[in-house]
Parts: sequence; structure tokens; C-alpha cells
Amino acid sequence: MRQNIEVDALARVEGEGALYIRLKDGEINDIQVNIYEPPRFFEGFLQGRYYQEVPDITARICGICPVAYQMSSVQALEAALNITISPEVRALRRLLYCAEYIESHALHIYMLQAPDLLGHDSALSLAKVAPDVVRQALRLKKIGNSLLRVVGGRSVLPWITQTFRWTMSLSP
Amino acid sequence: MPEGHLEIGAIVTLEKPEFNRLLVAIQEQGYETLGPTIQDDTIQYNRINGLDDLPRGMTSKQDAGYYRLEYSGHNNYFDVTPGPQSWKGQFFPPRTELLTLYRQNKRDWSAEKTQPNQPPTALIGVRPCELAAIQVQDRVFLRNDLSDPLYLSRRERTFILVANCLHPGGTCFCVSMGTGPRSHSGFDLSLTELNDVFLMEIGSEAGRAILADLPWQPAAAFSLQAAERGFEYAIRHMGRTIPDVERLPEALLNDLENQQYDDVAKRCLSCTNCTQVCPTCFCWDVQEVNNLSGSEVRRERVWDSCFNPMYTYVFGGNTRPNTRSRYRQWITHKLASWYYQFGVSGCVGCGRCITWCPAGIDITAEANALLSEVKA
Amino acid sequence: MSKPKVAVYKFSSCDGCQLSILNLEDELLDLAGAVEIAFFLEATRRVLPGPYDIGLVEGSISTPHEAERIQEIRHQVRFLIALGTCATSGGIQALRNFTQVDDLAVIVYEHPDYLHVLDTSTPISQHVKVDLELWGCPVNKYQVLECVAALLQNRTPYLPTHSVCLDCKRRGTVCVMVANGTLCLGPATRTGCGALCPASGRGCYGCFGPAPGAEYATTAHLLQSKEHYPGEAVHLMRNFAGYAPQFREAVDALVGGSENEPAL
Repeated sequence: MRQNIEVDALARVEGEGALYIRLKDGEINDIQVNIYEPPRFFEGFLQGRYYQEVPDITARICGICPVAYQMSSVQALEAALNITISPEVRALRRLLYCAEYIESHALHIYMLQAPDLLGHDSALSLAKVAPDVVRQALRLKKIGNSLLRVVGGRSVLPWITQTFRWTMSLSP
Repeated sequence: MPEGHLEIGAIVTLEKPEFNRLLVAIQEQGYETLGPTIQDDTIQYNRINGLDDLPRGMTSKQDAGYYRLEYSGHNNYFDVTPGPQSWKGQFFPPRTELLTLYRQNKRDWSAEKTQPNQPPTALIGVRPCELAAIQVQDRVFLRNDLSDPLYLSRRERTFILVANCLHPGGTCFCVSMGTGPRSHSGFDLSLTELNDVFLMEIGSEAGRAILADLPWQPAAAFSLQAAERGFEYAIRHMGRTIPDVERLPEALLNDLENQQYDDVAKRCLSCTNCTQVCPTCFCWDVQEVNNLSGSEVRRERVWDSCFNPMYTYVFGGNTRPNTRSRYRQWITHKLASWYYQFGVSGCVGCGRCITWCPAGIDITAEANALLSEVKA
Repeated sequence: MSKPKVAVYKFSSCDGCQLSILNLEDELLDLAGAVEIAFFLEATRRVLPGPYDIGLVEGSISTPHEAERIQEIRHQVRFLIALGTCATSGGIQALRNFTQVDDLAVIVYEHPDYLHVLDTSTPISQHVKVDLELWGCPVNKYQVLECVAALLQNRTPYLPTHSVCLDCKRRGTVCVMVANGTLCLGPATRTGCGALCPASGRGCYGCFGPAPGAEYATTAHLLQSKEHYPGEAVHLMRNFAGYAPQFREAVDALVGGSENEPAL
């Protein structure tokens, strides 16, 4: 007996992907994961850019976890330029990162993953049977976003300030 | 307590350290005291409680599109001329909630008007040009036939302590506009900062009552002379001038197609900065903010600008469709048609629009160019 | 009356604009009550059949597949809103439009021949009729809410278009160009962010795109005259909204005929 599982668009994930599983006699015969997220060529158009511009651009790799990309690029630049940051700046960056953890984990656990485990389509349908849990999740998410705003200016694609201050103050 | 009786118009001296007690005395009358402080590399008005909060020894280097605070080396408290902020926002805030509407049912609404609730406020260190600007805005918001209740309530509860100018900035031209460097009326108290003392002039009963309980001294002749010399110096050291101010209204309004407008339109960004720092500009927009269900509507008034391209958009088109038309509107209103509308010039010569124009457009240079091109 | 059906789509983008909708923590449940969320893969696996009353489209068109899909979506959606600077200008990935996409591909991928991409990344409006454009990288979530509220209430949404400068002054932010000599694209950039960058002491980098009626070329020339390093002004404009015609033309005017045109 042949049976196929075809998911043309995976829901509640960041980005775009499809999943195809081919079964044969109850055994998995073939699995294909298709990430059809279009390439955007960040590594390409970063070439020729001035170092100050880099963290703003890499943040746009992912709007769900922009801090990860800002942080990686700024650390790469610091390594290349042999820059040591102050403990205060490091602490601020950690705070910014933790804020993203809180927001992003609340999003992931409650809004993206929990519906699957509890047999729901979404957090919105979950809210109909467990409104308090969803409200609590939203509150937790909001705390993360508030912290992101305080340290980074805005919650999505926080813009770079004190945490990456050397990029502003270093003159060529 | 010194001998003698203080009267409105009297000029006395106050030792500088006594200024702290002056502030306390004003606060004891129920006023919150706001004055110049250093914030974000410029001068901003914040709560002050004593001399230590003032920008002592600071001055500013100002030119077209350029502002830097600098340490002057001397120890005066009131030498630095204003930054981008004016006192305008005190009476006409950038954002004011006017009223909230609540939907009762399908047909009926109830309205809740914003009640004036500004605490009494004392403005400390108001420059003569700034006082003139407040008086210009009074003519806009406090008309006999129509006055703005929120503006009125804030204005009525305000105590004004003027600081006369002895060291004008690089973009100042109050002398041309007849608003400075010294205020003659319209304040509760004024001060002129000399090296050792403040020379205080009493402008109102409220000012007299506050000063009466402080250890003032009669002003010595040499102090008065020092102040006069200071004003003469200030008059001679204006950063900018418009020589023919009185010619402006007629000249500008009779020459609306002057080539100078094409020239300035090539430099102007139409960004709105000049109008926002101007202490007399009063354009606003009224917007309404609904909630999702439509059960609640907030009506807000926000600062707007004749340089905002959409400001003059009406159904079917824009009455000022380009930067040339917007700049012409602004300068002709400010320096010419304002006279016919409100009986005074809309410009007080504070120089903010020159300093805070990112493109460095200079209203005095533009006015002088417009005047020089006018056919005699 | 049944609730209007809303669909949310993703094209070439970072998901940030969709996340902005999910970040309406205080309003999300009310919003979900006021409309029927019929298609929103990032939030729900439930897909209701079209047609949809409101379609929110995030991202730009950068692959042949996307170019086909947006046509199908246009047929499904009554009122189409382009959501964010990718959807309204082509986004950061539209930097490819100023160079050869093959040259970029070899930098990133070992087997660029596997890719199926277009030479350009373009805004939704270049492919189908767009009913409303919401700018921002990311969008302002309250502008999204205002648009949905306005559609529900059958009124025009309140979406100001003035410069960032006006916002700076309203919030009492000191001009970074005048007081610090920092390059700032605020005079030419559309409001919406609340003047975040100048409020933290850095210049605006134009992520809300060109403000209608602003003086783009004049701003570009002014910024170039105040540059701290060569190409700074061009890079500022040729950025997240760099493919917006107004910014594009201003940069063209700046580098036109120049021998040393910056790489991007």
C-alpha cells in the first residue's frame, strides 16, 4: 500500500517550507523538505557597504529574530577590527538578546507550537477554550517586546543604539 | 529686609545666591518652575530648583544649520541663547487631546471635553524675543471674538521671569524685529545678569509680591550703567540683521513672482523644521482616532506645518503644490501678511529657523534678497 | 452580516511585518473577533476558501513562482494592502536591481544554477493593482490596525505622510544633523516610525520610504555635502527603500556621470 503525506505550506513557522513524505507499507520511503523561501543575497549586497551599515542590513534577514543577526554581524565586525567592547555594552547587548528570547520563546511555545500539541489550528482557536492561558502568553510576549523597545527602540527590527554604539562613534 | 517700598517698574539688585530663594518663593506660590537646562547637547526647558540646574558658563555657537553648545569660560548662568525648543509648547502643546466621544447606542454619542488641568507654571529665563513670541501667539489664540480655552487657562496660570540678553547668538536679529535685547513689559519679573548681581525689574503685582520678601537692594548707578553698556554691546553684536523691516509687508506682497523664490526652492527641503522651531508658527491638524469597534473616538490636535505637502491638500488638488509655493507662503505670512492679520510681525528675530534649518536657509538673507530685487 | 475574511500572505521578506500583527498583544484577540482570519500561515494552519475581503501582502516579488502567485492572490482578494517596505518598494533585496543577480548569487551559493529567481525584486504594485500601501521596515502595527478598523467602519484610514522631521519636533527630539552633524534622511522620509532613530541620537535611514512631496534630490545633495565617508549619502538612500522611484532618481542625480560610483 502506498500513501503520501503532502504539506504544501508548513504553517506557524518562520519562513516558507513544504514537506512531502512517501510511505510504503507503513514504512517511510522518502522524505523531502522543500524550503522555497526565496534567496535574498545578503552576503552579496553587503559587499561594498560601509561597516556602520552592516547590522541594520543583517537585521532584515529575519524579522522574528533580528537581534541574532545584528549581534552576529557586529561580533564579526569587532573581531575583524580587533575591537573590545566595554562590560556595560556587553550587558546591554545581553539584555537586548534576552528580551528577544522572551518575546520569541513566548511566540514559539504558545502561538506556534502549543496549538499542534493541543489539537488546535492556532492560538486564536486555543483562546476560545483557554482564554486565560492565551492572555498570559500575550502578556509574556508583551514583556519581551517592552524590553526590546526600551533597549532597542522598537520591538520588530530594533534599531541599533547604545548596544552597538561604537559603530556610530568610530570614524573611518 | 531692605528699607523702602517696592513698586511695579522698580529696578533693584539681588545677590546671585539669593536666586535659589527666589525660586523657592515662586514655588511657594504654587508654581512649577521651568527653566533652561542642558539636555541632548542643547538647551531644553525642564524643571529647575536652583542655580545648580542652570547651564552655567555655557554659550552656544549658532549659524545657519549649525548648533553647538560651548563652554565660555566665564561663570554666568543666563548667557546661552535658546535651543530649538521654545515656550510655545507650554501653551500650545505639540499634541493635545481635545475631546473623546463615546458611542452609547446606534444613534447616541456622549462627549467628554478635555478640561484644562495645567498646574500653575513659572517660566524662568524667558528671552525678550520669546516673550514677544508669546505675545504674538496671544493674538492668535486669545481673540476677543474667539479664544482657545486650553491656551487661555495655561496662559492665565503662568508666571514669567524674563532674562534680558547681553550675549546674543550667531543667528539672533531681535534688534531688527524690535523685540530685544531687553523686555520692557509683559513679564512678572525680569533679570539682567551682571558679573556679580542680578538686576531685577518688577513687571507685575505677582512679581512685586515675590521679590518683596527677598533681601533685595536698591540698584546702584554703576549697576544700571553696566546693564546699559551690556545692552549696547548686545545691539552691536546681533548675528543677523534685516535693515528694512518696515518695507517688508508691502514689498513682499507686491512681488510674489520674485525670482528669489525659484532660487530658495532649489535649496529648501520642505521638511517643516523651521515652522516647528518657530515660536510663533501655529499651524495644526485635528485628527480623530477610532478604536476597532468604533465605540470610542479621540479627537487630538497636533502641530502641523505649511511645509507639510499634504497640509494644503483639499479634494481635487493641492493649493500649494510645490516647495516654491510653500516657502513663499511661509515667508510672506511671517514677514508681511501677518501684520494685516494680527497687527504685528510674525517674526520676532529669535533665529531658530536659521539655526535649525538642515539646509541652512537664512530668513534674513532671503528677506534681504527679496527686498533688494524689488523694483523701487 | 458575516465577518470580513482576512488573508495574510508572505513573499520575499523577513516575516517582520507579519510579526508586527502578532505583536498587537493588547488588540489581537479583539481583532480576531472582529474579522475572520481566513488565511494566515504564520499564525494558523486553518485555511478557509477564498475569496477574501482584505488581503495583507508582505514581501516583494523576486521569483517566477511569486510573480505567478501574486496574480492568483489578486483574483482572490477584494481589497489588497501591500504591507511594509518590501511590498511597497522591493525592500532590501531590491539592491540586486542595481547590479547583476548572477554576480550576487555566486558570492552566496555554491550551485547558483539551482536557484529560480528573477533579475529584480519589485514591489507588489508593479505586478497587480494595489489598493493601499503601508510603508515601514517593519510596518507600524497601529497603522495596520487603523487600516483594518477603517475598512470595518467604511471610512478612509488616517495615514499621515509628512516628513520624519515633523515627528522629531512634536516629540521634542533635537535635530541630529544640526546639533551633531549626523546624516539623517528624515527630511525626505515618510512618518510612521515615530522618529525612533533621531530620538536615540542617530540619523534616520529611511525605512518608511519616501515622504510624498518631499525634496529627494535636494536632500541627497545636502547629505552628500555633509558626508563623513564617500558614498554615505548614496548608501543612506539606496537602502531598505532604495528601489522606490523617488530615492532611486535622487541617487541617480547624485552619482550621474560620476566615475567613482559606489558599488551599490
